[in-house]
Amino acid sequence: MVAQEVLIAAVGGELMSDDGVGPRVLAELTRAGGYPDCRILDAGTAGTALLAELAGRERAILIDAARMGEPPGTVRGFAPGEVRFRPAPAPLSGHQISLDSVLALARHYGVRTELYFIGIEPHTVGPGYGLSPLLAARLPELARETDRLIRRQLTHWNALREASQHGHG
Amino acid sequence: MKDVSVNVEHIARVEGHGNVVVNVRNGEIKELRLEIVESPRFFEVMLQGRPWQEVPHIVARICGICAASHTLSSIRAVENAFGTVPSEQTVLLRKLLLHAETLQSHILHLYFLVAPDFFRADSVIPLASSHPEVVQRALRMKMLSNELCAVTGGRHIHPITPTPGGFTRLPSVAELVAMRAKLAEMEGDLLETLALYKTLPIPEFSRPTECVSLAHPDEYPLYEGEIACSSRPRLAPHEYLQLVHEFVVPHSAAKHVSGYKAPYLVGALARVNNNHAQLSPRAQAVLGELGLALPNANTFHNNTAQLIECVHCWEDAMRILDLLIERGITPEVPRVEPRAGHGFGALEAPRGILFHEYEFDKQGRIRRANCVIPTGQNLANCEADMRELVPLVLDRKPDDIRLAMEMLVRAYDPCISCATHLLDVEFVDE
Repeated sequence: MVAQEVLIAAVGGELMSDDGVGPRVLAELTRAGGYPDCRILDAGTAGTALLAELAGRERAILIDAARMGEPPGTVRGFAPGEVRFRPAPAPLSGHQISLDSVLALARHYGVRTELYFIGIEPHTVGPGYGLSPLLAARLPELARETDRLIRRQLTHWNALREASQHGHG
Repeated sequence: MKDVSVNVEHIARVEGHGNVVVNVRNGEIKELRLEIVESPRFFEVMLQGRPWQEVPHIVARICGICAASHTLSSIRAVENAFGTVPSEQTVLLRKLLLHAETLQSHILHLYFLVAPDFFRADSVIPLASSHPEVVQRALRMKMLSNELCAVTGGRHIHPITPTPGGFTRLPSVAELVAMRAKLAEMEGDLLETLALYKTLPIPEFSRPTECVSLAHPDEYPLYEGEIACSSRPRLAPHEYLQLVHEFVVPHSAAKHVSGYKAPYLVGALARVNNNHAQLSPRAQAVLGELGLALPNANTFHNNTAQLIECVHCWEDAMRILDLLIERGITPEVPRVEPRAGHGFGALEAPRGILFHEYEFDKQGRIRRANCVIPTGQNLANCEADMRELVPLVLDRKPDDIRLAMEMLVRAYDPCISCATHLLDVEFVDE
């Protein structure tokens, strides 16, 4: 039984400055009313535990800090096929198992979720509780842009679902 | 004579983070270090001024893998400071949560970090293609232990229901019954894990060292106890600073911890060395089957000790579930009376003994906090091991020397908590 609810999950560590921008932005959007038909999840520093949320789910939006080569505070949405994940060296610690590694493993757990990423370019990811002053000052704007991308993607998926229900899929 | 330069850089996420550096000239070690980037005042600054209610939730974010350990150690320090005594039911549920966390952490470590080395894979990703049944088994076991974390801690990631005084939400008996049945089914996967582990060649290595862990008269201690060292008198938790002489080593911004006069080991091997007589029956049997000589001075057997602990945590979790199911769950509301005070929590995280110490003002806000994590305590011992290992592997090819050093570091199951979680992408067709 595939879950019809879209999962909107934010990944990131609040103790590592802008690494926590995903959960921070999602908290803002949830405070503003959120997305009633979706499952909202602060996945924090979850690695493989995220797989349990993806298993059996049709679609998910993942919000995370992302090094995209853009100015800090840039918000960009992308499907997996639009990017190449830079390979990381062999991990010494469970913390170093990257999100993209977890997602690569997902297929071996029978996960077939269609994913859409929203990346937010960080300024700094050093130790510190809370966003860098640069990103903190732009939080309302980051939230607005993330919201716009979420709604655009949800609309797109809804349209696809309706089209397939009417036999035009 | 040999010149070797091994510089295993893990710079993808954070500069200078988790690097292993070994430089040998003419067969002599010129440079050897394990670089962990961790701000010395990290935890203390973060917790200062926070109200007691927020503290366990903040520390849970130190580590996504051992969040429950930080939460529970924190809660015990708060209770110690305020004179709050948890009920027996609360203690049982906390022990259950800790078993679940230890199990999922060890499974993650053994399958995702250690096994790839033995299969000569760079990571678990290629292993998923070459040995899919192995990876599927790992994911099944990890998901099940994560589920037990969710039943006892409120969610899979960063427990939310444990609080000073008890739980904000208790599991139902029906949930516990369901988990008991699922855990029983895990036996097959555990036996397969044991069979696989027996085929892996454990590197020969020996460097006797002080082993530090909890000790308890009635149980294999993970949740509470005194501090035991292999050759020193026991300490009460509030005396932990006698053991932990913290000083800052220039190359590593971490506090480098050295107990008494020499480095010491914490973690599964230290626990098994100190407390093996109290392991559960099946874990004892596995210990015998694996023929682990005790006390054991081979750091690579930390992995073996983790496997033995998986069996223990699995068996003891079922024992606790049976007890809770038989007694039923009593509704209890956590009651805490904050006051000015000083509290200590010593607990075994999967990677080793963990200390949280807090000083509160009369409103129950943090005036001062200290947190000593297992990996910080292992740093000195890890470098001493590396120093011992280098001459033994010097005659190998550079890639094999690098692998040997990495395998040694991985055997510690280091919690490099300052790892970040950001995506690192390049847009194609731009």
